[in-house]
Amino acid sequence: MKNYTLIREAYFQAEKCYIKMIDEATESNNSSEYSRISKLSRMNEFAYFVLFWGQFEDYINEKALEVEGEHYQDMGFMLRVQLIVSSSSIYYKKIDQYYAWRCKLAHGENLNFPELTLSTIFDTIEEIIDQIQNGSLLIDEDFNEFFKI
Amino acid sequence: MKNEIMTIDRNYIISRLSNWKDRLQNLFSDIKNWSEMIEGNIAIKEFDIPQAREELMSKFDVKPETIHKLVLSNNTFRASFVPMGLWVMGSNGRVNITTQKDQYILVDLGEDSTPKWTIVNPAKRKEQVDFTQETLKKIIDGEEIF
Repeated sequence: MKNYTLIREAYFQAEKCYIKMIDEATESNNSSEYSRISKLSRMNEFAYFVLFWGQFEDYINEKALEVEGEHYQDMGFMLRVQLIVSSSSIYYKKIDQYYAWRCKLAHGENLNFPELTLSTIFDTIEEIIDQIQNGSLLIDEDFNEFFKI
Repeated sequence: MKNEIMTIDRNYIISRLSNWKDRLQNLFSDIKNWSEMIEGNIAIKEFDIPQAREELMSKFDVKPETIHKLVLSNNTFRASFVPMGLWVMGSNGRVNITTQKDQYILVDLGEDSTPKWTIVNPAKRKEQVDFTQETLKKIIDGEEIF
């Protein structure tokens, strides 16, 4: 059982503190404090995104182990995803996009990212997990379209 | 904004910022109109706050201006609406709402240029509610909105 709910709650609890602090900074017309807290809020989002992603990555590894056995360890992450998710699905493209963000954030390449709307990003990741569990992402969308499934 | 495929240049950044200000102005106009229809002699104030300097603005040398913060209050209640970033991955802009009781995240989930202001609860999966006069009244009355 992954800790998606716990991470969501931890993020929002922390974010509420930042929202309150940002309001206080603007109320006292303290622009440097407003700027500082806004950056901290953004860092908080990045941290929880990487944490949430870690849970998803572990889930993908478990599924890849089921499909490929121990050989999965020789494969890069997106190749592992291809064992489970059709590369033509919109979800695959989402995973690819999120993985690229995760790599940039986790490896410190660029912390000047825009803010993240974690509620919608978390929802999308959990939706992908549902789709994988239903097995629907194993079917190519073009195949579906061609046969009007 | 989702699915941006047009060329990003300085004019585009300026145009998006202008659109962001327009959407905020419309949102605040709705909030002010709704507040006037809610009992309780709610006072409405607007303040200038510095606009966050976002990465794309820095890249194309677009200087941040001021934007408005909206505050509703009466003897027993206060709610502030503070615009945050425009370039937010997963939505088309964000506004923080703070009351004495709670904090909320209001995001524009609209496609293209049609806004769809929605309060999201990151702690619960797919828990979101359209931001309407009824939602605002619940916030003012301190009721649960989800």
